Amino acid sequence: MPLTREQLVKFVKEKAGGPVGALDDDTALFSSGLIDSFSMVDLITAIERECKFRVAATDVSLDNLDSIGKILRFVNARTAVQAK
Amino acid sequence: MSHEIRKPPIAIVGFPRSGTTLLRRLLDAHPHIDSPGESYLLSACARFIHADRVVDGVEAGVLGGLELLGTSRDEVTGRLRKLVFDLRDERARRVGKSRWAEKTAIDGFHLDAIRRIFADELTYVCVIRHGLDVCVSTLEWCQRIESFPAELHRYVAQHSQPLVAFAHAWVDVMQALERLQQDGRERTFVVRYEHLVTAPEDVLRELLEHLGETWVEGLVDGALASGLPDGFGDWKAYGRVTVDARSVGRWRSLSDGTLRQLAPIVNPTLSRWGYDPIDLDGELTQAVALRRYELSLLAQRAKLTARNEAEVRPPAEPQAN
Repeated sequence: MPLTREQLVKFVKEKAGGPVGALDDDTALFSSGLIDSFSMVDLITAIERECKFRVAATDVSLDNLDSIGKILRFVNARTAVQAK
Repeated sequence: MSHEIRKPPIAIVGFPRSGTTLLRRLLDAHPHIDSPGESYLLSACARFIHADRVVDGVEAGVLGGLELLGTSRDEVTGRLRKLVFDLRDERARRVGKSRWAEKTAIDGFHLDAIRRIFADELTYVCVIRHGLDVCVSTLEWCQRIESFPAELHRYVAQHSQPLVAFAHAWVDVMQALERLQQDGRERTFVVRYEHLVTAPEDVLRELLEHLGETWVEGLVDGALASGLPDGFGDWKAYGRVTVDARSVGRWRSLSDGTLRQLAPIVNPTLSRWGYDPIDLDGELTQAVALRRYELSLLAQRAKLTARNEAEVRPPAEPQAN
C-alpha cells in the first residue's frame, strides 16, 4: 500500500516537535533541518513497512526523501517497479 | 492548632515539567490564594524525616532517634507542620491573602513523606501530564540548567539513557500520586495538563469550586500578564504569557527506537491514568535494530553528500537587468 500525502504531512508534523509553518510538496524536510536524520530513519522504516519493499542504500538520498513530493514520487516509482 | 486561616492550605504536586508552575501562577492570581515561587518547605521537611533502613529493619533517622530520646514521632512531625504553617500563614497575611498554596517542582518525589507529616491538613492538587511529554520536556530542562536535580540524578545514575531514567522516575511519582488518590480522594483533585492548556478557564473553575473558592473573571489572562517571578521557579514556565496546547504530543517527535524502549516502562501507568498507551508496530528485534543503525548511517551520508554538493556548486550568475 503506497504512502499517502496525508500520512506524510502527519509524520512531518509529529516529528518536527513544534509548530510547522506552511508545508507543501516542495518544503525541504531534512536539508532545512525541519526534521532531523533520526526522523529519516523512522521515515524509511515506515516506507518499508507500509509499502512492503526494502529501500536500497543507493536510494537513501535527499533527491528521493527531502520533500513530501520527492518521497511520493520515489515511493510511487518503486511500487510500480515492484508491481511489474 | 490555632490557625487564623481556616480553609486547608493547598499542595500542588506532580512530576516536574507537568504544568505545576502554570497552575501555581493561575492560583496565585486569585485574590484569596497566595501561591508564590518555590520555597522548598515541604520537600525540606520530607528530607528532615528521611530515614535509612539498617540492620533488622531499623529506620535510622531523626524520628527514630528522637523517639529513643523521649520525643514522640507525632511531636516531631507536629512541630515541622507548625513551622511550615507559621511561615506560610505569615507570608500569606503579608501579601493580603487568606490562604496559601505550596508548590515546589521536586515535591512529587517526597510525596509519601510529605503526607506522613501533613496528613489530611493539606488539600492536594495533583497535576498530571503524558509521561513521554514529561520526559521530553525534562530532558530539555536538564540540558538547559546543565544539571540533574538530586531527585532525578538518582535515576540517571541507574539508567545511562536520561529519557529511560526520567520515564522510571515519572512512573514512581505517578504511583505516589495514585496512593495519595486512593487514600484521600476527598482531599485530592487531579488536573490533567492537557486539559489545563486547552481549556484553562474550565479547569480552573472546577478546581476553585473543589477548593471552596469563588471564580474571578479575567483570572487566566491576569495570571500570565503578571510581571517578574516571585521567588524560585521554572524559567521556562515564566516565559509563558498565554496558555496554549503547543507542547502537547511532543513525544511523537521521539524516534521509533526510543519509543520502543520507553513504551514498556510507561504504558501501564499511562493506561491507569487514562492516556492511550504507546502503540508501535512490530518488535524491536536485533535485526530491526541493526537495520535502523544501517539506515542512520545512510541518512547521515545522504545529508553530508547533499551539503558537499551544495558547497561545490558554483554560485548563480547575477541576472542581467
